[in-house]
Amino acid sequence: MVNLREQVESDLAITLEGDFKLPVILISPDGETQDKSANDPTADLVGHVLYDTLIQNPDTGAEMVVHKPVVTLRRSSLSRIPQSGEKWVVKIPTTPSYSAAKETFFLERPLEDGGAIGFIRLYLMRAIQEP
Amino acid sequence: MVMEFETIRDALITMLGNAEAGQYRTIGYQRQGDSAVENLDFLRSVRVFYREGEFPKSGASTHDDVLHHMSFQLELTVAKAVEADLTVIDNPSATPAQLTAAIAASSMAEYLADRSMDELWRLVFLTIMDARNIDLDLPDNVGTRWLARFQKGEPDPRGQYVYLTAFALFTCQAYEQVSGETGTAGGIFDNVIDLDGDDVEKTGVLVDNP
Repeated sequence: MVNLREQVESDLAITLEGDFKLPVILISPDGETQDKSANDPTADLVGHVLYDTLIQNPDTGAEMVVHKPVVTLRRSSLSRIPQSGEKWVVKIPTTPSYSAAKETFFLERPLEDGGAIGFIRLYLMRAIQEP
Repeated sequence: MVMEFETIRDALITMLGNAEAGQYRTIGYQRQGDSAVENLDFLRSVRVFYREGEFPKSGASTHDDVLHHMSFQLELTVAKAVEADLTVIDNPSATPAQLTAAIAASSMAEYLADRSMDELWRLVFLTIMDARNIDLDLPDNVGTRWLARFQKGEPDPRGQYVYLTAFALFTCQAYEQVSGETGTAGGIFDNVIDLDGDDVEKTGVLVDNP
């Protein structure tokens, strides 16, 4: 019999990697690309991807719509866990479609480490071509 | 009839807008056209707000034009993304060594935002403090124009960009002509609604439309 935390972790296969899944590609600071799940090397690395939100500028009070991609992944599906302060590349679909072309983001902000129940949440920064 | 501070506010916006050259956007500026170069680094913007006025009382001002020491707040905003060599990072055949080098060489968005703000402040300062703009193109109307203060905020990772806001204080003085304000009377519609079958015909409304 598994304990409750183990049960929650196994449920991530449904809540994060179930019907709402989208493919994600990670590139670690040492150039290793991960696009397959560590739990099942024949399956794509997938997770939850949210795109944009409405926020308020605390300096001016003005409302702004900003693209704010947030990716939530199951930690056990990762072959290496990103750490805060590391520069990772994260590629997600441009639209919420499994087959959509991917665009490139950087992991530059501190991540949310939900290690207690087995997920990790990544806040992404847009990357553009350097001049 | 507008007051001088409104004219000066619009003159500031026009002056900054004329000097943009595609390097930032002035909020409220009536641009004459749009071109690709105007979208370069389009996430930089400048806003102008009338912030504060002082009206020192004097014997002359009580029955003549009123001296107005005015302050305007300039709000400068930049937003930056990470800059990296995407030709390598997005190349499926790039080797781990090439990817490592490209990732390590990427420029942090906070650093880029800070440098971009410095550049934007330079553009604004050099435009407003240019000796040719000493009267804001309002001859004999503006005195002692000055950029008195600049303060930069903290880079703020917000969404997929890093935002950075800064404030500058612009001061000047002018004489306000007090011409009086007569106001505008609101229209009054006195309508009687004639309803079929309403023998009494006393269904009426009085609408005050200011």
